[in-house]
Amino acid sequence: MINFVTKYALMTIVLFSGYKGNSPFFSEIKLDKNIDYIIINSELKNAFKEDFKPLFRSGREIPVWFEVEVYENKQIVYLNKFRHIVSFDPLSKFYTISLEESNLKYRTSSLSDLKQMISALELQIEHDFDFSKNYEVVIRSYLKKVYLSSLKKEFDLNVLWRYQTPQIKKGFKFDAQEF
Amino acid sequence: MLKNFSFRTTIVALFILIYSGSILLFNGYFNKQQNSIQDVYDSIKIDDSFSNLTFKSAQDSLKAREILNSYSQAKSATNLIVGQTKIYSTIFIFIAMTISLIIFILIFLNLTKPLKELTEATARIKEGDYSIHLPENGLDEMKRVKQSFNEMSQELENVQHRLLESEKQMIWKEMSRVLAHEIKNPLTPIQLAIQRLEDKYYSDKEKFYQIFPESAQMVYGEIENLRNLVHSFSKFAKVSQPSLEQINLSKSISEILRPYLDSYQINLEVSDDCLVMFDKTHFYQIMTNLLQNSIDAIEGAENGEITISSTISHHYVILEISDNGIGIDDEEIARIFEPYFSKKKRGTGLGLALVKRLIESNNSHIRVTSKLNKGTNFELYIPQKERSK
Repeated sequence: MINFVTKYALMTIVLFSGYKGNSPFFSEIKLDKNIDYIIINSELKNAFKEDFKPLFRSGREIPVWFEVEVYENKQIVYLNKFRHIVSFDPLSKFYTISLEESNLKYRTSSLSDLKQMISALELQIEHDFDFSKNYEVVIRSYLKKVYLSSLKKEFDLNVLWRYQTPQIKKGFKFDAQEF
Repeated sequence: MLKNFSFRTTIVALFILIYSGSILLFNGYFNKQQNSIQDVYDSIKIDDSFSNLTFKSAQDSLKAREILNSYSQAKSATNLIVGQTKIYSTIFIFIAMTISLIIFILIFLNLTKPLKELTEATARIKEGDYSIHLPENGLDEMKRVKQSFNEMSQELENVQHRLLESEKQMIWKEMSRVLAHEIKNPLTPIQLAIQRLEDKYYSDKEKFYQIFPESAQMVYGEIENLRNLVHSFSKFAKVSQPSLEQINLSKSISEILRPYLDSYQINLEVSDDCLVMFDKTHFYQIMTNLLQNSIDAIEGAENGEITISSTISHHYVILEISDNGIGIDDEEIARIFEPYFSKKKRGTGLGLALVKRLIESNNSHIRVTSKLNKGTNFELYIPQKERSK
């Protein structure tokens, strides 16, 4: 019943709300494997086109959350939550992007570069995964509430993604011959 | 287009159309106004001009930074609030619409369902089923209507029973009258004949022997009439269950007509491939009765003629037996199929009543039209035998 109501509400939003918003989705997961690491690559697309510019320039740190999970037979064997954080200096007009999964920071004055950087995901996982088993990697992203100090109010950023939580899955298996 | 839909469907469809249309129009207007507000905010641009200013102190630049941040936060908050409002208002509107639609439909059904029940019940009463009883539930007004209806149907049922009773009594009376009359008719000449014989036997033996054969013949004749009378009543009383079989109308009628063709002008215009499912014996009795009626009607008439023809209409074979005889009075035609009703000098009045009964037992029906001194037309409506595929 709850599922039906949720789907009904989402369908209503999509069809009738008149709010443009963003419809984010992940590009296909690319997996590189070696004997010690798995490198997971993907990109969040169509996520920051509308209404993010003033938000990124608000002077407040704006985090975009990511979750990466690896499952073995529906049991979770790896979980990582991290953020891509954007902040802006209105006087220098430079954006600073922090990528927590790799502990890297970048600076750019270009909004399009900023969007590209926070959308890209590259995660290196040190593993002891089994060669004989099937695994599945799941990536999802979401926005949380932020507090805007000048307005003294909290705002739910999910509205910019029309309350969607983009997610992607991919199965993989190790082949002993690869190594 | 509205003619093809029921009243209920039309009302519900109109309601949905007008209600959703209004909601969508309102929502569209609301979104448009919000977009206008957003456009106004978007048109306010201060960050570029601000950041190009030269500040005398770190404090000034900090203040400038704060102003720019406030401006950006206000702008993004506007976007967020507008977006949220648009989304939530749409959801609320549609939830409200769905709930009100459900409530409307429930109330509407509560009103129209009892009306539909009443319509169906009235149709059944029209067909003669007075035992119908509606459940006395629902809204108060509907309950009262249904109570009144149930009282009415109960009263109708009582009236029907009383009518049936009085009809039965009338039939018994009529039957007794006819029986008495029909039995008395032969008894009187029998009595007179025997009295005459008795009288002559004792007074004039020669005369007795003279009149005896004639009197005996007459008595036998009247006894035969009494036997025929009993046979007619018996036949009417026990109409057997029909045993349906395929009958070729043209062939069967030709066989029945054979003894009459030499004496009467009878035209047969029935197609050779006309097939029906009917009880053969019943069909023979029906045709013989109707034929005899037509023959009686044209008796003594110049150019008296009987025509038997067939047509097909709406899955029925219509068999017509027409004559150009004396015809039947308008007042009498309504009673022609009643048992014991007859305008003939002799007869039980059961012939056409038996015909009607036999026809109806074979899932068919009969109609009659007539004009005085012009002729009479009997139409038999027999379901057509479905052709096998």
